[in-house]
Amino acid sequence: MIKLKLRKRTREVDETSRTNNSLGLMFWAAVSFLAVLTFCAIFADILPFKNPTQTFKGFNKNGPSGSFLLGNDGVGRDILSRVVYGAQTSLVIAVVGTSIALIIGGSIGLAAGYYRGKVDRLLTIMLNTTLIIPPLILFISLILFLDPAAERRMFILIFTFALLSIAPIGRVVRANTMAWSEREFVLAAQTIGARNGRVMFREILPNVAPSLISYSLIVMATLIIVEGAVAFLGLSVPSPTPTWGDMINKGRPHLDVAPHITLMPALSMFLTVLSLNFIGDKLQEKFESKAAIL
Amino acid sequence: MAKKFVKAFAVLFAFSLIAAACGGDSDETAIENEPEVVEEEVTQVEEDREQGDATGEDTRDDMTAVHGGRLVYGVEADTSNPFVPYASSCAISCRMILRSVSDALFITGAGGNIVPHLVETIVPSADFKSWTMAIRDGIKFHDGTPLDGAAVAYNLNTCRMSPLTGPALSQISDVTSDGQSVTISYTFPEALGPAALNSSTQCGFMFSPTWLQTIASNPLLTAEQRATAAGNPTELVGVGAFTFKSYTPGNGNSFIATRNADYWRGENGITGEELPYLDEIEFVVSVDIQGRSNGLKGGQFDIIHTSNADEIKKYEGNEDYVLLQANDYGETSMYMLNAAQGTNPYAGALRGDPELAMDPLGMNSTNPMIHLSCRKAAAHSLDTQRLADERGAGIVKPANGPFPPGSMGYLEDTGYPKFDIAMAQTEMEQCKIDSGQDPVTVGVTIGQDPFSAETADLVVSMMDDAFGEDISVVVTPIEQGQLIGLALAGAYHVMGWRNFGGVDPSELWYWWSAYTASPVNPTVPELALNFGRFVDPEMETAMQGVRFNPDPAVRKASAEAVNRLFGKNVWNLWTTWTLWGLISSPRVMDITTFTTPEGTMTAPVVAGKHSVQQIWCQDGNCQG
Amino acid sequence: MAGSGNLHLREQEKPLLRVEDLVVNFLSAGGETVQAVSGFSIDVLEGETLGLVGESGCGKSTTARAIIQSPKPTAGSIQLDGVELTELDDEEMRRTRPILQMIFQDPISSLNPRRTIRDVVAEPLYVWWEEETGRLAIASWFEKTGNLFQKISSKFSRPARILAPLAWLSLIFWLVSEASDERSLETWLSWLKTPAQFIGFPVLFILAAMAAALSVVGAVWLVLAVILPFGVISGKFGSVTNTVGLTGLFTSLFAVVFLFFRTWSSLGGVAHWLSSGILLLAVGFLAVWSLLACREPSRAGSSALAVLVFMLFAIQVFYIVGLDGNTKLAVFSLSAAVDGILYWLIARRYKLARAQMRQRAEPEVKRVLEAVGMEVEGSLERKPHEFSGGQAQRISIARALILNPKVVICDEPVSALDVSVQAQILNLLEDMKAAYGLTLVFIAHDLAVVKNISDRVAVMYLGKICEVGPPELLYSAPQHPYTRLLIDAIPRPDPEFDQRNAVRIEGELPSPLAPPSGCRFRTRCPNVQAKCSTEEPQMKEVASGHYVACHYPADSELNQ
Ligand code: SF4
Repeated sequence: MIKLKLRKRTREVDETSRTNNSLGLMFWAAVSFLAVLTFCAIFADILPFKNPTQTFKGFNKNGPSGSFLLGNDGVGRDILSRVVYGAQTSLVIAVVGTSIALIIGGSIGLAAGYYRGKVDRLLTIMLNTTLIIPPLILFISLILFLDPAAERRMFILIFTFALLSIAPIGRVVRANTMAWSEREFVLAAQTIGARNGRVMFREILPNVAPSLISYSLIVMATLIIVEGAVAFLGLSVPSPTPTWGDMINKGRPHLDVAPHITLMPALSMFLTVLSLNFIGDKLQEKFESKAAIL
Repeated sequence: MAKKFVKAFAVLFAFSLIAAACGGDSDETAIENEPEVVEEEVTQVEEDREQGDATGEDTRDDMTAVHGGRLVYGVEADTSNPFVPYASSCAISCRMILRSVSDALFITGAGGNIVPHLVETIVPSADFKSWTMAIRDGIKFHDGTPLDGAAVAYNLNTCRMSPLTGPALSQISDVTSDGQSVTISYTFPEALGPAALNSSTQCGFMFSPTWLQTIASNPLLTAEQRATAAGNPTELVGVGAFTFKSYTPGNGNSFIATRNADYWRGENGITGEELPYLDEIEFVVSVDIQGRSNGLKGGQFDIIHTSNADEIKKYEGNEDYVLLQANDYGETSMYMLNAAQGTNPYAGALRGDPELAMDPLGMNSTNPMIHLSCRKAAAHSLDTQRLADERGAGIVKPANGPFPPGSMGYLEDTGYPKFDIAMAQTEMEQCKIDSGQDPVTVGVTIGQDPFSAETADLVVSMMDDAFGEDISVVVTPIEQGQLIGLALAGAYHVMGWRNFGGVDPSELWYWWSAYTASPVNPTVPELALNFGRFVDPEMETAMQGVRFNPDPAVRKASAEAVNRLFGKNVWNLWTTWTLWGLISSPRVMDITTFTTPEGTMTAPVVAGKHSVQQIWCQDGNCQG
Repeated sequence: MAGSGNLHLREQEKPLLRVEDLVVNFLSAGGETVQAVSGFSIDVLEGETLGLVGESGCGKSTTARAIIQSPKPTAGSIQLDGVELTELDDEEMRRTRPILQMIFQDPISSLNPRRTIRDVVAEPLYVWWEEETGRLAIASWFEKTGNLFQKISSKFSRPARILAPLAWLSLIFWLVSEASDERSLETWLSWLKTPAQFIGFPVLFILAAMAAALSVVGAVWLVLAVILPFGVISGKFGSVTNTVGLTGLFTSLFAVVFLFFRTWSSLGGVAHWLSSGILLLAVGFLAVWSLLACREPSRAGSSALAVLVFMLFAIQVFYIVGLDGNTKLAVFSLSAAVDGILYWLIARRYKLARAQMRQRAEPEVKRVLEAVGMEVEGSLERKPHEFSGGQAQRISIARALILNPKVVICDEPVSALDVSVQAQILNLLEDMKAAYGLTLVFIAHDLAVVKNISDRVAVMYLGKICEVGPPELLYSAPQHPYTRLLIDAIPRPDPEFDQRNAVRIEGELPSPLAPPSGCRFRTRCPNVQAKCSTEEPQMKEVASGHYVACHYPADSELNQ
């Protein structure tokens, strides 16, 4: 009995110290940055931002000033409000794209990892098929076939991004599910008569969820970057909708005279991606260490 | 099959013309038999621009030219199908290369007139349907072949038979030669005649027929000859001041030519002059302007050219470099408006259908720009001065018509609507009634490059400022290569464009004629070089005055009439005139001051292009 | 062992669990067939404890899992209380599970680390109660509609099978054309033309044109398209629950796809796409939920509610994003308030339901936890990793007992525990058996563990039974050479003795990929004879209730 008690106490100590150390100032800084950005993006219309498409005569390529905190772009638009409205686009694409991939890829991965056998083989082939497609070629051909006039570009973007994120997410979920399915509590749940759906969603999913969430954050960060790359090619959501990639692209000709036009959206993108990655990594670390003590 | 062929042909032809137009190709007009000697004016570049007349003339103090040196020229683009004229999409960079290795029959004089160069004399027939040229005697190609009438005729025939360049020479019915003389016959009276074959037309440059016969793509060759033809179309054999040495394609490529000691204007030539001064000239492609500019600063280039106003602006007042600016005969930036509606009796007459409908599918029927009120409203709403200031670094000029200052037909006031928001709103009220739309919806198609896209953002914002809720503009960026297809097909409402570079308006007729305005048809685009598809009888009359009347005064008046018609009917929304800049190290001298053997001053810069024979470097060393 | 034959089965009595000629093969990673269990037979009478002993890898755990049909065995019969388990379908088997429970080797791994002990132990009750209440609540209504579908389908089944796919296809085209009122039909058809031509179904266009030409026709097709497939499906599966679930699935998909196309062109910019993205999410959400409803009718009620709430949310976002400035602020605050109240109500309702269920389960949970000797106070809300192995195993036993099972299979329940705890758990199992009248199948890898607890012991080697008998006989007079070796290897009562190394037999366990011919034990048997490799020994009775499968058992004259 004494032995038991001792062991328990050590565990508790471990856990409290780990909880205190694992998150930390940087984590909360990243969370606050994203929170502020998301808040501004959602409520951009009712917050005192300038019209992101209005061009102010005589202000083109001006640096940061009192009335334009981040300066003006090549045609005199307010960069601050364009960064905020650009966040709308980036976040919508990243969040919706990842969510769709999460629902589909998560379900596929869960089913493949849980049922195994033929189901697994079939679903894995499906997932791998999407990996064969070169992303940019897929995207450009979709544009050419479905949307040459950029009328539904957002749809194509989200569709492509979701399609391409299904496989990575599905594979992470599948591997995790397989590992957790080995645990005897899964067999125990089946033995008490729970249906497969209940076993998957009540028993396995809560255990897979932490790594899934942190991985999804990283996928989101990737999608933001990919959107930027696509916008840089001039293939993203068309003007006048501001996007970060588009802002960077359009700032390019002015790079030597007005570097802030490119720098501001690039910095926003950098910080957002960094924050998402950082939060994802931290969560992963935390959950992994927690899982390791089991 | 036939339709496919027509389509391919149409695209090809349009490409050739566009390459020509973008290269600022055009033929000079004025047929002045006695070339004027233009007095040299030493004017500051700044002042020139103030007058809307930057000529790019090198006005530095005269020093005695010395021989020697190797010049490296940073040019903006690679050339597709280099370089043999009948097959090449030859834009500014290619044209500079042609100028180095060969000469044209004629050359643009300083006053916009056209003066003979390889040609000695030229005589038209009484009805102006046949012109006879005498070629200077004693000129030899680099391979020793003499430049005689037969050689000139052979050059012209390759161009006439080529699918690329043929359509532009379709008015020539026959070319005959006898000794040093060449006679060209035309279907219609031609006011300009063979002077069209000047240094701004790729077919005006002469190349050795012996060499041309070794090129497989030569349209004059028979199938058997073609099978054995082993010549390289990039290894040009011309009559020019420099002879071909080497060529490497691709970005960062280089074309090297060395001094031709037997140049006809050199010490062994027929004129006894000393041209050229340089030992060697190299053209290196550097597509990105930043790269080109850095190359100049880093000593990789001795001279570069650019149409990027921001970059030109940076060199203003920089003592370390020589900056020459020129907007002569350059292109005009604009937003083309698709006016296709109703019927076109002109094009209809050609195909036997007087009721030819311009928009049979109704694709353009929702385009508000078919109504004059809407076109005027749009024109009034655009602050072209602001566009020039903000998009052109304040050094380009707002355009008011297709003819930039210095061109025939240029007018201070063309009657084109001025920036006036009140007027714009008044017209918009009418436009809403005419088009039956509220808000009025316009689709604007532009290229995907960031600069055009940003310019379009500014234009849209100006329209928003003027019209607010009354207008809804949808901007669609399209991959650059696809734009021409949409323009040919008429599948657009408003399109960002740059065109109409040229010395003489008579060479621009096909862009504006009702004869070349075919119906909107996205599946089988036809030869609709009048992309705006406007049918304007007054324009037809005015263009005839420019093309067929030999009287210079009438031609000038007609060109001005054309300009006024554009102003009155607002067929396009003009924005700015293209400004070219030549930036060089101060060691490079006499960049643009070239005279004919008779001493006639030539136009310093034609749409960015200039002669290279006369260039020399201080101490015979360009790098210093 | 190597024993075949069913002589040891007690035909005269009625066993609670009877396994006959059980065969379990599975594919190895290399694609070869692993013969894990080959012709295993045993019976267990009510109230009896069977001890099943063998080395690791002999197939005893595989046998245990085959008995609970997870996975199903390759061949053989398993009768539980006279019911042939191998012939049950998944659903019937699931309903049979409560009476057949299992206790696992690794106590920690058999408890979900993310749930509290209260929920872990009560989970079996939740599973069956939710099913019960769910069925009670919705059964009557769904039975009616289900019957209606079945009636329709029985009348239309043959034409429906042909028409349904066509109807679905035309529904899609109808939707597309309906959704595109701003574009002409031709535009849409030309847009669809390329892929369709490619697939090669020009006939679709005739159907589509028919469906699209008149909205009345479209409506008729719509009705056919929605009803007929369900008729077919319900007719085929005959299950009310499937009909309900699929109806939900397809109607929700239909609704959302329709909305999606409708809004496609009516809004612009981010607002449009945000709302469309959410609607897309709703599709996935609805699909998953409907599928759940399909599989778990107990969820149909709550899923319907969830769907409603989610749709409400989507519509709000959809609407709000389209507004501007102050209107947006006002509408946003208002709908946020409404949502807040709504979500609070739903959460409260859900919590209440959970709380009620917990409350209802609490006496049961406490009773079983106390019965297995756990201190109830303070342990209910803790997570499994806060307990020691012995405690966790008690919790496992509690979970198995809460459903009042008849048979409990204990798969090496003590082998992962400290020696000091082993005896406690063994005693506990004995007590539970007495208290609950359980029938136990007790699996262990050494004879010592099962000696005291078993009424009957079976020794297994490489997928087959060697010897079966009452422990008194088997331990005192083992007949099979393998049993004898096992008994010899039983450790002396020495606490320092490492039990895992106790069984020491010459040679390696042969691979189950290619088991030896004849007697499977012959490669390691001290008594091996020529006959052993050619002829498989059959079960024979050596004493009353004592059976052995060996050509040369201990008492036979040949062996002397
Ligand atoms: S004696 Fe023969 S039959 Fe008996 S166990 Fe040994 S090998 Fe098998």
